[in-house]
Amino acid sequence: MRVQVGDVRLYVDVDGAKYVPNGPWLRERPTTILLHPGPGFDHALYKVTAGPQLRKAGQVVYVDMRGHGRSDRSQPELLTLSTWADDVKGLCDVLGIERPIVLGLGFGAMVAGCYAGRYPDHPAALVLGAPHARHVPSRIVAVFDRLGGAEVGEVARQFWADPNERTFADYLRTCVPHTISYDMTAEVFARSQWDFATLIDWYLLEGQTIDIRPDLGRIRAPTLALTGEDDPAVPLASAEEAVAAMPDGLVEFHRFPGARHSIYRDSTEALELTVDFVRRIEEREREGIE
Amino acid sequence: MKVSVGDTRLFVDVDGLGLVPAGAAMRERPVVVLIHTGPGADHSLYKDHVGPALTDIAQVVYVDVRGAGRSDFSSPETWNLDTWAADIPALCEALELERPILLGTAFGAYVALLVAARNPELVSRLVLVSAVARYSHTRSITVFDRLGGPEAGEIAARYFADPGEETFPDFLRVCIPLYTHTPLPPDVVARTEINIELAAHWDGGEGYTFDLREEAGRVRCPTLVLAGEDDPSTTLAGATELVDCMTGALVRFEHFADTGHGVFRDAPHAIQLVREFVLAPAEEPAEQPPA
Repeated sequence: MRVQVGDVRLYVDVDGAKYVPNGPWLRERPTTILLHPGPGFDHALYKVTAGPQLRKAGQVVYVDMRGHGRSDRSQPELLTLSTWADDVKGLCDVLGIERPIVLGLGFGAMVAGCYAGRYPDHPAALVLGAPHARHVPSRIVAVFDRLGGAEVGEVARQFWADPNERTFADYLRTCVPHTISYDMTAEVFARSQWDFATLIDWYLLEGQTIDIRPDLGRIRAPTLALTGEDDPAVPLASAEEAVAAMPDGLVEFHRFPGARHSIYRDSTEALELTVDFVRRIEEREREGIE
Repeated sequence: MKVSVGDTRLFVDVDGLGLVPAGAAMRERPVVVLIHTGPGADHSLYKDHVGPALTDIAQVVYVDVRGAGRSDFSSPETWNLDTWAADIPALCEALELERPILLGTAFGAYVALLVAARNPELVSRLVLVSAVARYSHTRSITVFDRLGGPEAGEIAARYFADPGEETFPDFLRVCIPLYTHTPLPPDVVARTEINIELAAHWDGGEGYTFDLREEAGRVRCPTLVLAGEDDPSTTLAGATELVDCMTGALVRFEHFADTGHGVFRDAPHAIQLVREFVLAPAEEPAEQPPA
């Protein structure tokens, strides 16, 4: 399905009933909105691992952000974190989704954090996988150096110094195999409708300079943060920096040794913690109502 | 979820993916919109059996019709078949549901049929459960007679002649239990949010006067009609009349012995026919409808 959110139609897929029979009642379950990695990818990545697990604990809403997948393209100047963040709120308004749990990985975590900073009372909770407030190329290059050697680090450095089609093609070939721990040919590239241009445009527009620490500081929702210690796209120092920018006592932070950017693939524990977190939020929300 | 549709907001629940991973691609699955009976009842009846039996093959969209369940109460002057039948295409447009399959039971089937008759480009297939073209007290009393003896027929006749506080208790005690052989579990009843005002509005008006014979002839999409032979409300005779009117569509009509209102409660295996119908290839060669 696709719904009108502001000036664009967004593709949305839904799995798991919101209300399920429970004796003489229909029990209301939490809604988890999944914000995909990227920019440039689409929701399809979540259709394995995270989505099917989360559906056991509630309703799962997949969305292709504007400019992505099956959603409408948009004017390039609107492909910004603040627009994507506002679209999350707009989508909830259009579908009557109240107090969602918003989950994002990588770029999706950046959008989730930005949204939660702009609308602090809107989400019931956040799950931020590989959270980061900004891109620090020197940190990224250092992890690629460590995992793949200086040659791999150099390709990453060139991409960050000058994001364009050529440097990104090199990055894809050389660096991405160190970023994600599984063979992504089938699942990432074939199944996703993905868009290089969105990615490059965004890095040129704001991706190199953006810093959402002020947004993260305004978050009020309980947050589960998960990060892989061997994630070159979001180095541990960047994840720690993002968590440190959030208010004290809000974040439950877990780091997974050996895990890369593909955190739910690399750690079944990360996935179990997420499902368990959603269940705890459901209980918390119910206590809040009663 | 609640979605703005025209001047009201409709409650919608969704279960089952629209796009599923299939090897190196994503595969689109059919969308089935379930329209509940009542209309004073709500979508929760389908959460018990029909919906969960379809989520592995389709995206199931539950909706509470205008005035029912968790949808906005709206206003009684809009509680009519024309409006209910206009709300469904509007909902499909809001959610960009293309070529859905509509499944309705009794009241929900009338709405589904009208949507298909009036929006042939929208509806890909129709499943009509316990549906008739019009309501007939005589047919109903005949079945009550057969199932519950002359006393049941008498009580039904008295209630139909003068529905109200005087006649309803006996109808409730003697006739309602005859709707199905397998009693509705108390939990299923308790889970239903009932709008009594809406139920009375329908039963005292359009519920007895509607006549779909003409519009049934305008349905063009493949249709599966399921009826219970022991249904005292939407009788087999009524369903047969409906099918006879559907001259423009490829109709498969199945009726089930020892089966009452709603079909699936007494004949759970009937859901298999729905599954086959949902899964049938889209490009099936259309047989010539009977002349």
